[in-house]
Amino acid sequence: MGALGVLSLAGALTFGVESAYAPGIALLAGSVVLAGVLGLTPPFLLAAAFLVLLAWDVGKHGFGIAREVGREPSTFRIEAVHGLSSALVYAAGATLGYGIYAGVTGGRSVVALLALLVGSVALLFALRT
Amino acid sequence: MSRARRGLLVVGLASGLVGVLLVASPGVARGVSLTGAARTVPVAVVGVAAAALAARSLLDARRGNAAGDGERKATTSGAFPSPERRPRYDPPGTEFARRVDAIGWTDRRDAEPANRRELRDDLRNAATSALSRGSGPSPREVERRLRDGSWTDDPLASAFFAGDLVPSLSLSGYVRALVRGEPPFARRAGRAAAALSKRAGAGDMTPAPSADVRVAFGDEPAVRTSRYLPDGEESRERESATDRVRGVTAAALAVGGLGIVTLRPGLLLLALFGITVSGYARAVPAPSRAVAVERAVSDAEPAVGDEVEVTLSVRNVGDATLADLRLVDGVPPGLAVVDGSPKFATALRPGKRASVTYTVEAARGDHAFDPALVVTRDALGVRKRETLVDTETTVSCRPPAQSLPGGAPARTTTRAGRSRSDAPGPGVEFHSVREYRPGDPPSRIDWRRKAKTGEFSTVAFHEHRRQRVLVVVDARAEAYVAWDGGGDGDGNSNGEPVVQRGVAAAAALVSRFRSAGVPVGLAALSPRSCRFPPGRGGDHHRRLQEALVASPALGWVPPDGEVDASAAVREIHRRVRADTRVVFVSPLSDDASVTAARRFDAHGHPVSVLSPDPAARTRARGYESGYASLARERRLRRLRAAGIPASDWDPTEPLREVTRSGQSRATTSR
Repeated sequence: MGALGVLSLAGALTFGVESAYAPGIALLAGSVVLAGVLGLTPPFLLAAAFLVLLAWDVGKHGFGIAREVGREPSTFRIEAVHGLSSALVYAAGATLGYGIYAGVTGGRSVVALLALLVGSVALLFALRT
Repeated sequence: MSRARRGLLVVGLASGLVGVLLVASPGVARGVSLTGAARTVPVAVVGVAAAALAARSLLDARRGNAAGDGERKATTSGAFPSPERRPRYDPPGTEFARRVDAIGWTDRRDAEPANRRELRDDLRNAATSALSRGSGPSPREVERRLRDGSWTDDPLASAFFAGDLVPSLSLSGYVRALVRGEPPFARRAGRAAAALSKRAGAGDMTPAPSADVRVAFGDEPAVRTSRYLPDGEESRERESATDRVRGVTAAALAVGGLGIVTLRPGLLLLALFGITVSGYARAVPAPSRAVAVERAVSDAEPAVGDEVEVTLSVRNVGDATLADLRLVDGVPPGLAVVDGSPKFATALRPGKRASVTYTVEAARGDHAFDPALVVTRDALGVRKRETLVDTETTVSCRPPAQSLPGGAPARTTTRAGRSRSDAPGPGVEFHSVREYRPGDPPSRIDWRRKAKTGEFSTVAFHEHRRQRVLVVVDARAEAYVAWDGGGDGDGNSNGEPVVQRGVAAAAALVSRFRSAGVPVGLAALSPRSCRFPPGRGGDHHRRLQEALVASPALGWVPPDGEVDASAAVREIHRRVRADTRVVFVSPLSDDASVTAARRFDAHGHPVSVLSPDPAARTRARGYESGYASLARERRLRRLRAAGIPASDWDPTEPLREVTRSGQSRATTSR
């Protein structure tokens, strides 16, 4: 599934076919989720999701430019800036989160976890704008 | 905040606090150990709730988009500006093709399919007129042939007139029509129109619409930058979040929910990306708008057809780097981009400058550039700001004053009665002799003839009247038909509306009448106002020529509103003298143009019609272009039958021919 996704995505991004891009991303995301359900260890899963997210982001950005500005002008500059900064931000977020996760896991009570989860989801519902 | 929401907030805060407390001092909950349902149910509920949140977020995004689209549709089309294209002008016959296309599978269930009946009536009228013209059979005979189908070899075409509005098909025929995807009635209509064009000598037409029309069906209209943002006071700028944040957050919530339900910490951790993006979107400042845009044109007053280089440069005048800057120049609708692109994208450090150069081809008229659209985004592209930046530039392209054949224009003034009219009456130049009628003045009785033959007869002279001419240009939205068939057939090129040819002809006519010393005025049949009563003199003439170049009513963009032809004619009639001659320049692309000409006639104006043929250069071979020329020929015949001289002008011919005939008499009918 993942291989199929990679193949489709590679084709889409090389030849600029937008209709092959979305299924490719969907396949990749599906394989990441499947891997998660089957119990892949968190660091690998995070890395895989990070890469898929980056691929999605860069692809979306690129196709957005093509739609708005056209294919003729050179867009390497803003694509590079965008790709680099996206990678940086996502990587920083994921690393920070994973650090906290690795630091606090083990030996906590299930009740605490439940209370936190209930609290965050309730807050999300309440503060949704 | 609603009560339910407040309750949720309290629950959330309390539960979160308890959680933090338990994490901080694990001893408190040591006594509590959850087992069985008490352990699994809350987990499942929380997971499902997270998934629900994701779904709602996605639904909201979709609904928000839909609402935004609906809101924007009133003023703009919502699509990103594409100023490098001209507004699309429909090729002739597009309206007909649209009507055939609108024949659906479902309207056959109506008791009285009105659109089918109207379509058939219109086509029958065109057929009757086309087949019975000249020395052809009488209209009654044509009707009979249409009914029994003997007018054509094509069984489908003959079935269009002879068969039912809702053709009854055998099961196999129905299945075949379904496979073909075209209702049988529409198919027959196309075949009938094609067969009719062939019979009428318009050449072979395919029974399918031509490529240009198919493009015109599905094509999004070109959007000007000035129409992109919704109208209103603060519409020069718009700041919005892109759907990127929503997408990532929703996906993160869904995966996190799945992680909670399946008790996989890895999946729950993926929600981190959602938190990251949401947090980033809140923390990042709105993208800067500190840009200065300049535009330079290589030639502000080019001749028609010249290539003008436009250089658009943008400078970052703020102190933050613009990570993602996209710029779309507001190319005026009349100028077609022939080389390069008026759009570009770049990243700009403070103080840096970037520029783009493209080439447009000058066309007649004053072309004011629309504001340039600047779109800035932050580095991640989660927020964007769209700003319209005004930079006033106008390219003014005026054709040189028409060099007049026959030497210098007449210098003599022509107060009352220089121009000879065709009406017989008192005067000095012999016109005709007719039999005496009681009441004729004795001085005009031909006494010599009386002496020779003993009969009274009256000599009539050319009556000298002062002529006044009003040139009326048909510039309704219906008259904005592409006159070069939409270009090279693949629908990519820039069309020119036939109205522009009409305006060029009007300019030539005005010059001609002026050099003949005839007071001449100008009016546009359009929702936009453009009226100049007949007058004389250099200033008046300059005003007319200025209006012909710069008046928005005669511009490149079709007017938005509808105009009632009769009411518009009445308006024009009330502003000029009743004996003013009207030269009506119209492509005759619909029946309302015939109505307009006849209304002028009914108001007592001597009318002549000059009709530039929109199909003169077209290479379209679809049935719709055949129908369009048939219908137009029918309109010309109707005008002539009503005693209105109507001349069919091929705009590829030089204007001189037109102006010559325009000067001598009413434009001649061919």
